[in-house]
Amino acid sequence: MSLFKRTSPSVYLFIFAIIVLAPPSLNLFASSWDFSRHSIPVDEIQSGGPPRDGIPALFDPKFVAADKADFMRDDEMILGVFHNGIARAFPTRIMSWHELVNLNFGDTPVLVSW
Amino acid sequence: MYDRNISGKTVTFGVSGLLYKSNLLMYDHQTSSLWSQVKREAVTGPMTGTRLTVLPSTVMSWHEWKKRFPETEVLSPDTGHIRDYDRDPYENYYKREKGLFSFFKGGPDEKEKELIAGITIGGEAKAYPIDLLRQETSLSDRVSGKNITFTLDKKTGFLIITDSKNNNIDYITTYWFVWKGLYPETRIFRFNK
Repeated sequence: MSLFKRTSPSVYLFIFAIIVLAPPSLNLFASSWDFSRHSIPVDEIQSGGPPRDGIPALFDPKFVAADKADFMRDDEMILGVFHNGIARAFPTRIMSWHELVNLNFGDTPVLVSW
Repeated sequence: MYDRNISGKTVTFGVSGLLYKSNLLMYDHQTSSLWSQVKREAVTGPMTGTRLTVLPSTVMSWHEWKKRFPETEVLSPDTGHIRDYDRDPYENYYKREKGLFSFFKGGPDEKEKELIAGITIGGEAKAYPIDLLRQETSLSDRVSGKNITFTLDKKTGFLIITDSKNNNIDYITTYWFVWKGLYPETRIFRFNK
């Protein structure tokens, strides 16, 4: 009970504000996106759990030459891309934490997705 | 892999956290339109209907990839983010027979998590089991009146799908239940028993 006594009124006000001012989750979710145009039924779009950018995409990440890549195991799975004469491997155990990589292969801006 | 040059502009993408029929939706930072990776187009927002160009990619072991491309580079775990990269968060999902958020109801011949290469030609969708394609050096089929050929490039290990004029045909590698969720009318290629 001492916890209640020590809680300042501003904390209650804060909790009240969260409860009253937070819109229902569906509105919260719709407000970040523009659904004025769509080709799929919007009510069939579900939340996958994490919020927008909760899984952070990568932008122009670093690469390591194969002979210096001592963090790699021979039997592990990679997503392989060969484009504009450049070969790059994306370990799936890294891709699963980011899902998207924005980068360039020479002059071509590309998106690698997992 | 997709080309980020879309209608003459370079677009960047992020993870929306939203799903449509078990398919992750990504969004572009420029217009906040949502894009389906499997449908290869924007499905909501100002970019709705805009197509993505698919560039070939493949999945194999690091050992096998290095043999084919000794000059390869590999994505560094030094990404600027702190994550447990020793562990793949989807490890158990790969092994599961069932999909995530799946409402799949398949026939006795259908394996929910079978990996397929999916194509759409003239409004017709068809799926080709990857295991089956890997057993054949070359395979032909006819979809929507077009003759198409599947070739597994021996040197690179990439699957190449071409029409009779030798134009490349875009395909997506995904699980059967994901493909069927987006293309309920899709057929799947099997050898006649």
